[in-house]
Amino acid sequence: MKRIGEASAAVAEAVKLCKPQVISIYPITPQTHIVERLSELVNNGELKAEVIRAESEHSMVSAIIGASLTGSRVFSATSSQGLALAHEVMHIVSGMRIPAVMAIAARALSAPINIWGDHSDVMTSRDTSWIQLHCKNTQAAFDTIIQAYYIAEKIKLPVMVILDGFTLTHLAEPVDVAEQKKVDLFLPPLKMNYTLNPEKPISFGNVAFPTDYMEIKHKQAEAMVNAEKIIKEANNKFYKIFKRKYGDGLIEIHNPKASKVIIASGTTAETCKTLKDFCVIHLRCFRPFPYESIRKALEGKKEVYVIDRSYSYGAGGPLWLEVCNIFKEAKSRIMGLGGRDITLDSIRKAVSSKEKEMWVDKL
Amino acid sequence: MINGLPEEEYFVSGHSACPGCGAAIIMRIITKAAGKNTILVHNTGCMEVVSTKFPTTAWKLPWVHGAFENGAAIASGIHAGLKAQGKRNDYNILVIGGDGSTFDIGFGALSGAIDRGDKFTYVCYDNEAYANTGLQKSGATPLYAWTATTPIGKLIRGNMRDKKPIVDIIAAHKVEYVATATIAYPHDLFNKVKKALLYDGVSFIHVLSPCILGWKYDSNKTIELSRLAVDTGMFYLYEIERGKFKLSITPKMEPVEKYLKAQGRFAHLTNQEIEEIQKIVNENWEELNKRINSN
Repeated sequence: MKRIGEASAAVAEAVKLCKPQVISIYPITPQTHIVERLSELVNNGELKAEVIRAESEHSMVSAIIGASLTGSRVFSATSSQGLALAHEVMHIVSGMRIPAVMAIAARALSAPINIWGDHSDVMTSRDTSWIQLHCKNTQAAFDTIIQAYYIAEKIKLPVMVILDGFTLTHLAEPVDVAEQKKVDLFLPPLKMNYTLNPEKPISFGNVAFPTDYMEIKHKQAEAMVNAEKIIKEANNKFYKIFKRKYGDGLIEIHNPKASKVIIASGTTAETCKTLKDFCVIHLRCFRPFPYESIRKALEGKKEVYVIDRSYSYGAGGPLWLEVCNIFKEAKSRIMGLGGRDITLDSIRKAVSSKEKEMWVDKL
Repeated sequence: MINGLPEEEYFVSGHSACPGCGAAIIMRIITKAAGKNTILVHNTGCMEVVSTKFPTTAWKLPWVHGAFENGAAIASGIHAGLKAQGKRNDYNILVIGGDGSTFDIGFGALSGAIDRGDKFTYVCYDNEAYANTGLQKSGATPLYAWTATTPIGKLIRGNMRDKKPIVDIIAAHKVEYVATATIAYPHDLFNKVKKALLYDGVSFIHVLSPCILGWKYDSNKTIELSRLAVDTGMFYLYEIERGKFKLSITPKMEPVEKYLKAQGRFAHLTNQEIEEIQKIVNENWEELNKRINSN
């Protein structure tokens, strides 16, 4: 069934179909529509879940630790300053191997304060050991939420589903809404290996001394690498049931024969597709970083432009820095910071210069 | 073993707390009171660090620690998760935090959980400083006390402000049950935890927790100091049950000097400073009497 609605509503609809038992929320622009819609669904009896209306994003993310350890499926959402405030807890969630799913309305960070879209918040979170999946459009937002639960619960790592703030969160498009029984077929009920249970008391969140810390963290690093397989598996299994897929699950390649390449994440990649003689790689998965998929996609390519909507000060665009490991002549294009429009003209400008780094459209 | 308390231990040997640590005794008593069907949540702090060196644990109850300031928020999640699964009435949830995590960094999380009406009992063991990091000043440090960050200098001598009235602050949220306790009166502490667990919403118990290193006294004086705190009126034992104030032990109002002189952290106090503290304690006692009489 096709419905027209903004991506935030599509996310809420997808979450509902995944039947989370606990939803932990706190308002922040431009994420708020997601949790408002979920609150309506719960209060109307359309979704049976407990809603925790936290007093901060720090507590919002902390609460999903407790809820998940009771064996409940959890959902949360935030943006920008909220993600930054919760940063400490993001590491704890992944370190405790909590299979949480969180929608991020990607937005600029202060100062100066700016409520519009870019990737500063999610890039600052890239080392939190959350799987990071970017959505290119409303349908992708819907589908990625459902896949995210499959991935998180199988590999026992949390997943961020990233929507470009405003450009996607507030964009209304037709969405093919999945049937409940198909979602149930795709997504088995959550099974936690360990829970807070007085019949079998276990301690979670112990102190690890230098003798043990590295081993625990290495296991986490291995899980993150193995997550690539699970993301691909989710994409394939999803295709079998819903007839929609997102490349190999990690990257999507448009116009693969063109020798000049643009690499971008999220809605920017969609805009780039209008350039006829370019191969566009939509980087769907930023963590784990899909080195192999990109290496293969860049074989024999002549020019590579990487668009970043954030900046690692003193180093460069974070996505470009990763791509340089594979294609060291790649050119960096910094675009759309703080919601600056990324138009077709700006992209044309970005690929017409040979500069190594260019802040496109900066006055 | 304390007469009349259950023999079953849930905080067992193997932890690395200082010999004579007040907080370790508190842990034993409060878990005995909560019993087997209890889930524990712990803020970062002394008792968390000494009890769970991976891969060991001193807890015989399910236990979770996240960060310094988020125990109350994790408890909200457990409350919601159990509720969603129809199991909320099967278990107690007991949150344990030191004074740093309760008075200061985790205060917002605690206040938020109270506001949401989530049900758990929060026990604050108060050793009046950030003891785990080496005894720095917290919002619970008393007036003029030495801490590592309020040293006795030529210009400024110790902590210049008295501790926050945390129980009043929590009570102002209109919770159903708040109480204070010390390990000098273990049955009182035990009974207060039992009572707190029966109430809806967040219930709160503030327990004074003498710290050998921070307060600078001999390790065999922990109980004695806990009793002196009550006898001198430095720490009142009371409960507020659905707004009704009740004093648990009437203090003898012995001179505060007896309590202060027993601790190295107050060794620098002049007679004038001791008199000043005595004056504050006397005023507080008058205020308290008004509350007792108004009931």
